[in-house]
Amino acid sequence: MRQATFLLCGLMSFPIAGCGGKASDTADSSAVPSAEKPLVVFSQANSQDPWRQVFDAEMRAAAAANGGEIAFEMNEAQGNAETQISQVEAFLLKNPKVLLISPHSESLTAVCEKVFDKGIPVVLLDRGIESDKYTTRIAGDNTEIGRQAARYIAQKLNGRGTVVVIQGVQAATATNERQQGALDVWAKEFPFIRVVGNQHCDYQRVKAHEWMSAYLQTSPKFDAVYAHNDEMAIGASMALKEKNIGGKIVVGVDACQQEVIDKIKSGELTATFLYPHPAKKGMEVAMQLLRGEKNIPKRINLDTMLVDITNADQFLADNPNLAN
Amino acid sequence: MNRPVLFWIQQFQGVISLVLLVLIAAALESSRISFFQWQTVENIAAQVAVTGVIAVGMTFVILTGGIDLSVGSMCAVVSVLGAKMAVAGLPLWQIAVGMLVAGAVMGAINGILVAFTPIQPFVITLASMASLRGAAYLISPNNVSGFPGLFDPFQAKLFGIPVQAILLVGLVATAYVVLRKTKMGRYVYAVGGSEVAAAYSAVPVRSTKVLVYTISGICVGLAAILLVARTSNGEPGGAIAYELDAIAAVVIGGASLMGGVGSVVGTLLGSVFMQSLALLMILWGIQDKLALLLKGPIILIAVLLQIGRRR
Repeated sequence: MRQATFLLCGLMSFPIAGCGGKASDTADSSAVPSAEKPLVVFSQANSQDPWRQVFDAEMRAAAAANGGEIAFEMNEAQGNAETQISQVEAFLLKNPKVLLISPHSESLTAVCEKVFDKGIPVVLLDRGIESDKYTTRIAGDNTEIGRQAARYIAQKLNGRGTVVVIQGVQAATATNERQQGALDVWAKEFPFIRVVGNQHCDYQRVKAHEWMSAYLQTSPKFDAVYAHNDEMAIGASMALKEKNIGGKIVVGVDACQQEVIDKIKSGELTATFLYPHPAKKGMEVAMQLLRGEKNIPKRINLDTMLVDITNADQFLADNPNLAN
Repeated sequence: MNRPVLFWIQQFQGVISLVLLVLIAAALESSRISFFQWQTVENIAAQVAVTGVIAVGMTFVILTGGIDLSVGSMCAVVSVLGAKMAVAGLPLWQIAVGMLVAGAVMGAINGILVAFTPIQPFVITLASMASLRGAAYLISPNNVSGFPGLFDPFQAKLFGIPVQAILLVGLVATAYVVLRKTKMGRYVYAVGGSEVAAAYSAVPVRSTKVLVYTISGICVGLAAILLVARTSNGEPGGAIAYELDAIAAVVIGGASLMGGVGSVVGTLLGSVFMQSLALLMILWGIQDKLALLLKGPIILIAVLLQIGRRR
């Protein structure tokens, strides 16, 4: 009986509490907001890979730097589109003034449109959506990264040599762009650079390691490795090291890990190209939007940067938030 | 305790944890963090639908003492198939029927394996979980999109209530009637209560098993329709770990993994509990990693409350 009574009390308190909540809500809403700091929310697709872990760390740092002016909350969707949609919907209940979002995929299109239609600025970080209903998209330029990496490799080889390319996830935008940029440059500017090996290793160190080990058993002749990310460059360099093969040029992309910079300093990797984190710029734009600035370009490209033995130490000093 | 109250509690076991959650929400209600608004109801209704529908099918399976670990992968397969049909230009009703049939077929295969082989359901559906995820990626290695607005009828609102929620409640009501008022429903409980006793009482144990896994498959088909509507694409890597959310909802709703005990209404309440919890964590601004950590003990406490009730 005791339990039943408790249950009944609980049930009865539901509508009462509900009304109470509503009443206080309407009473307060006119008085409070001006005193409260505007809320900026950030929805992250996942925090699993090193690049996104640094992305998150930089976002937190940028939010803390503006902590006097804004309230900030972030949430991560563990790589699940539906979870991210639900999280954005939940964020909406808190009346945010700006939504920063790194969408999992085009699945987030509808909910971003919904937010935008409510008059809340939507700042896309990295990936895009299939709609024009967003304020701006801040991202690195993967095609340009491909071009610069290709040029760097060709120059290191004095314009003549053979390259093995380790590609990321098949048909992913980043993969296609990093590949196309490189192929264009070699085709147009360096007629004596040839691609002799080509494999998709899904951006994974383990897969690149396995593939390169198997590939080396065929005693291939090549001068350089271009990997679409650092994890795969590390995997390839591990295979080379195991076979005691030196003197190859190994170039990756991302520059978000301490390990990569260490390997550049030790000579296992030759260079990497920064895939820039949109966190800092994203927060900067959020602050501009809060100040009422209107002239935000629809697309903001972030510059890449070469990191090799000549500037590795400086890069470390400039980027304290690198992943381990 | 008098009989009607006891009966009522047994029917709606999931209610206790939900009431507790609502009480906590009420205690922490403020102008800034308002749980009690219509928007919350709409949010939860839309968000609970996919895993809620899967959990209803899971309830049938668990009531027979089985388990279906393949529902997440199956949901991905059906979503990708549905998205492919949409891209091919089929009308929505044909796509929807196709998706339900696809789910039913995959569920039936699970059921036949469970009923006619000595392998445990856990192992069989673990195997289908792996294979179906592979199948999803083979059907399409990439997300399938490019049919904006086609699935909008499943995102619409009727009298201000999201269609997904109406479908879920309709499904729960149908399942409730089937389980409580039909011979088939009694068979499901009988198989879960004691398979041997059920067989001696002329209960068709094998066909009942095939049936519950088929029902689970059909529910996955419906959930996939709602998922595609929500994300406007089919994702071979989607619906990861949805089997765990569904199982959690079923056990919070008062079902026993041993079979024979539980109800779909409990499952619905369990699903709503899980979704409300997720929403509240965000509303209260609890850091996402901490929220994930807290989810475990909260589920255990919720289940403990149910077990206490059953004694």
